[in-house]
Amino acid sequence: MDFSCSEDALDASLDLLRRLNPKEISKNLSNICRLQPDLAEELLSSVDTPLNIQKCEATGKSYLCCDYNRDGDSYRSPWSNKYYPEIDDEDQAPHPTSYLRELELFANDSFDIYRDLYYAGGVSSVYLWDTEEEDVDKSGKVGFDGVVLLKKKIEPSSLGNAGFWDSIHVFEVQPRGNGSATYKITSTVILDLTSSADIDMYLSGNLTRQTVKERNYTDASSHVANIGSITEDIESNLRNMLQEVYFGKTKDIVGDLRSIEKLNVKEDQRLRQQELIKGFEKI
Amino acid sequence: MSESLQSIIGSMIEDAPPGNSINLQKDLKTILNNDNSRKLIADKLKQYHLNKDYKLVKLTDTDFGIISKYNQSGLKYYDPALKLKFDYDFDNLKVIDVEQGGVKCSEEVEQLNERIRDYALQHYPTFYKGIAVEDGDNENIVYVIIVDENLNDGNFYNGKWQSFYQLNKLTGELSGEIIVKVHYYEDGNVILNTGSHVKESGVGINNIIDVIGKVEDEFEVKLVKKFSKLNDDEFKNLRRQLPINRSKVQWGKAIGNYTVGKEAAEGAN
Repeated sequence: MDFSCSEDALDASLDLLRRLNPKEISKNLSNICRLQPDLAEELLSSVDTPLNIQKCEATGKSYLCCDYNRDGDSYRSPWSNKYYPEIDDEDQAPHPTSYLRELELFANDSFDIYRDLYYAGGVSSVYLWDTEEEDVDKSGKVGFDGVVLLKKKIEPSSLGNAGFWDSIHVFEVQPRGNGSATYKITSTVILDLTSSADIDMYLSGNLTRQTVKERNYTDASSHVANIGSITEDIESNLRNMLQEVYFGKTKDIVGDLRSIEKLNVKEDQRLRQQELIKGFEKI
Repeated sequence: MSESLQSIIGSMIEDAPPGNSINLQKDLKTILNNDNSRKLIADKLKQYHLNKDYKLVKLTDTDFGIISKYNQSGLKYYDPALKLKFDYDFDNLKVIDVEQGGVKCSEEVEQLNERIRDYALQHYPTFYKGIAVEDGDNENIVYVIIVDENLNDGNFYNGKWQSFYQLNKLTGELSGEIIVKVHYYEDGNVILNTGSHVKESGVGINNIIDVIGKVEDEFEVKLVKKFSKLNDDEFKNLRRQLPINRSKVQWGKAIGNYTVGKEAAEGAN
């Protein structure tokens, strides 16, 4: 297969995964990987799927899994810095450099509190990784990348309602010389709400937005504080957008599909309707 | 592989959102990248539209038709209201071979089609079609299909309503299913998928439209209530708008001062 061909196949695969039923995204992702094994790695790293929870054996705490803390079939715990299921060559697998690991612990403690205040339950994990030749140090002058993950599940109620919320914020920290830094964040929230009482229904999917912010910093830990407050604002905005799309727009579209009230369409409106149909470019 | 290939394509077609199939078909062809894929995709699309997702197609300047397994006549489809026969090319995705006449229905079904037209006019504001057809073998069975589409790619959404009913005139039993799908895809990919099975008794040709009207109204009222319930309960319990103390988080080294949060966090582990 030549390069341009696999490039086209990648674009087509991503396009499909952006449009097919989001509730089935994990199934469709693995199906496309079966059709195009060469693209599997690229697809797995660029498509957000619902987050899995894993147990850290060293600390007993739960943590979240994504492509950024994965090595083979194992995932690194942010609490112990160890991969589970355990791997033979733990030392060879990616870990943050020493000060970045300290920062990672601070970020995890900070977002654990954020999680408790906003989610009252759930699981959070933050992973950081080096991007520069130079190791990250206390000064905050060396940039790095990371991801913030949050997940909350609601088990089925007596009415058969259930749901989950997954937040995925992938970020870049780019310090400037003048004491300010640029933070680029790509945020996705996967929200799934299901009801099986009376009538079956699910509202499922994701919204994504990109944010670029400039903030001042004094040392490396202020990057964590800045990421924290920017993420807090993004999540509040995304929550408003999700509320509007899931419970506003979607409901309005159903109302436009069928009206409970009789429309009392008169003959002239019927004719206008026919004019509309003439303009309808139907495939 | 070929059997699993078929099932993969079939399952992706079933997971496609309402709206036009052009992009889906194009993407699948690119991924499969071989000459047989055109036919395979067309076959799967056809099966899907015949059996599950009845397809609204434009037949004349002013009216639509429906593709389903229930209004097939020989190799073609027929429209009982417009008295047209037509075929559909599932590879090029267009109506072909529209032919006038040759469509016969009983007086009863003829009148039912008129009443469906009037009913649809009162409840379906966008692009729709409703048909009543008789079963090919059993004259006591009548099918009613209504399809309504609200396609608005300009504003990144598409919606589809489909209701299907089977009336047994001898037993007075009406069974069927309402299926509603909405796809919203501006800066994301969100789907509403809902529906309800219908089972009513004491139904005949005379009151079938009243019963359908009642069933569809009830379904829609329940759906609206469900939206509110999920919004008020489940959505609110996933992530708060503000923390319980109603102020934003004090990030930085002082974050350790949130003792309540910390204790609760440790307690939860």
